[in-house]
Amino acid sequence: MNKKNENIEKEELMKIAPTLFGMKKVNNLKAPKGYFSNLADTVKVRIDNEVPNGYFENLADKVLAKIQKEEIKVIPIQKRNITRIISVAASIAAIFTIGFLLNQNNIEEVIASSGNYLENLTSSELSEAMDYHEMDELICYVDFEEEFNEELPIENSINDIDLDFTSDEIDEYLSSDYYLDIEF
Amino acid sequence: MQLSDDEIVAQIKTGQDTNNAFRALIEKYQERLYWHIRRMIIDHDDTDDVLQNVFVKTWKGFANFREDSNLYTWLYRIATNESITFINKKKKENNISIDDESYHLHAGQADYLMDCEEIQEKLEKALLTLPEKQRAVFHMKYYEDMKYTQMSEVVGTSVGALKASYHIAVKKIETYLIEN
Repeated sequence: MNKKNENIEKEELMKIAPTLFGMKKVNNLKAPKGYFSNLADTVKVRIDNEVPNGYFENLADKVLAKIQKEEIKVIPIQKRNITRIISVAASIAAIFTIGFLLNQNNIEEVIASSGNYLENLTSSELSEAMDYHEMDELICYVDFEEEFNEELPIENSINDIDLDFTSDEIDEYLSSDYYLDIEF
Repeated sequence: MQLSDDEIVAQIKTGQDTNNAFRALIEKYQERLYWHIRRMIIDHDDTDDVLQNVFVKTWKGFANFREDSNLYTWLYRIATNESITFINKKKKENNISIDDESYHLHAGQADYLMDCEEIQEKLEKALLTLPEKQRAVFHMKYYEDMKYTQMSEVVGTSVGALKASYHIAVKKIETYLIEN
């Protein structure tokens, strides 16, 4: 800061805040002895623990290997269409059946029969269901990680600084002449 | 011999003796950043946590550092963000309103205030009534004599807005000192 600006700023401080201007700039806080001589080592240990060597290079391979382990069934398009038609037909039939059962006031029976559905699943069907569930969890986790990492973009920092001015404060500030004299 | 900022950045970016260059960065800026954070957070242990986070984030984010930027203001920016994030998180954990000045006096700072002389104690209390970002602006100008142009790079706000913010902070502090 050049001398002229420094003087203008001091003058402004003296004018608007004489009590503060008259005070010594004292630092009453103390850092523990030896703190700064060990900090670099402490940070190094933390970095090594948080980001092991080669972690990022191997991460993609690990994820791909895990994905390849999942059994992916490839269904031909024609077969998929037939399956879809059967599914729709089964759904319509199920709606009619439920409607019929409800009309017969057999609600308890409907609930009981749907409860038995899980019991009737084969172990392979159950394991397939589990795999899909695990995949959902993995996708949620990845989304969360991305969201978390975006929370504090280092480069953009506090562009949205809230300066907490009231309109009176702004008027008062603009009505003072001091800020006009300072060069940058 | 202390490495220049350009040398530190070049060595880290090119992978030449990265560890030593990063150590040089820490040793060069640790004290300035420590006091910048400490004045905001007051408690040493919390400051230590935040400062370590700042350096870990610096390390992880170095790939995003543009070489035409100023290393000093980039580090200050991370430190300021981390400090404000920490204070807001603490307030949320303690279920205290963001604007509640009593938070600061309940957050382990009362002991420190008792050690100050009366007028210094008043000043510290007055500072704690400022919103975090305004307090950061006040610290950078009043205690660290930072130029408005540098502060502008740190907080990403225009020079004019920063001057107004500092002016208002000073008036608030003066009013507090007189009235209390």
